[in-house]
Amino acid sequence: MNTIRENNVSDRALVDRVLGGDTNAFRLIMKNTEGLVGQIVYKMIRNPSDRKDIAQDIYLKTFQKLDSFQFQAKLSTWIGQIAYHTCLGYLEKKKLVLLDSVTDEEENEVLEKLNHTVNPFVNDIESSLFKQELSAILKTEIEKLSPIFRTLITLYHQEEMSYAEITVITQLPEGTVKSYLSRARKLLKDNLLLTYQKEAL
Amino acid sequence: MKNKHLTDEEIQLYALDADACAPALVAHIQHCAHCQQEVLTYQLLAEGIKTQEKAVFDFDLADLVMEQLPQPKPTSDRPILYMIGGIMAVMIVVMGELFGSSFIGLFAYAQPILIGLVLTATIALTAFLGIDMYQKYKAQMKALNYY
Ligand SMILES: [Zn+2]
Repeated sequence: MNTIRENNVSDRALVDRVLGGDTNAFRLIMKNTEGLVGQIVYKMIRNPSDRKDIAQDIYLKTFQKLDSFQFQAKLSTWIGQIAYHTCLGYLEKKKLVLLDSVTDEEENEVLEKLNHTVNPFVNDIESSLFKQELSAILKTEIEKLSPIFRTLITLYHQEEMSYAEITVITQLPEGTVKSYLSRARKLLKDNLLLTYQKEAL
Repeated sequence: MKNKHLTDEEIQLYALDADACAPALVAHIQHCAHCQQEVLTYQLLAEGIKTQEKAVFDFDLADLVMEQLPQPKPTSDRPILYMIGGIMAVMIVVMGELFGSSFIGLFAYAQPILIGLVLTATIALTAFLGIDMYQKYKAQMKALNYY
């Protein structure tokens, strides 16, 4: 609780400075939030040159809208929301696929295969080589996810955000966030096991 | 104890937040090797994601954005100060023209201490109005700089 209050105090001080005409304070806001914005932009947008334009667009929008920020969330979460929706708008304009669609049949097929084999990791878990290999496979599998699943997984597991914070960023109902995350983890787990088995053969 | 294996959602919940699980589920997992393996896989997955390299911008975003922001202009305060001063001077002259004769009459009869009082009040009021006008102008200019 204390950290939230402290964050809010410094958020407020920074916002007041920018609104009072101290444009340089905006640089500080950018430095504080660039990490999160970077994660969102990289997970949502594949094209490097588009990332550059979109990232600038996100902060120009933030600057313009700053006087409407009500401090109902952390400033970084609010900026995350602008980032996510700017990327989403871009993807929608380009008519790119936003979500993974897993049909039940596909899922069952994968399950069938997996249930006949013992979890292939169990004997390897302790070795550091295994961890490296797992990490590399995982990187590829995360890349294969749709933009929204990839972003949700990153926000929850890497940025360690709560469901409530992710709800603010995505403006999706909490139930939807939970169910997307659950599906994304399942996809990752199944694909991870399949790839690991293939590579072990 | 629950006899059927846990659903995938239950496994995920246990792997990520065991405290949030119903005691019956916990009891099942503690006695079921299959479910334990599933939990372990999800825990490995979570750790694997957490330790992935974080994406960072490979260009100086702050510089790119800063040069596009409206810079606070060094606003010169002089013209507006001259304007306020000018308006005040005109008002004093007009007042003098209109009420000059009564002022002279007033000076002739009123006590000096009363004149002093009236003059002080007038100057204070004029100064107050002038400062207020100037502050409103500043605030408006600041608002304009943003859009
Ligand atoms: Zn079981």
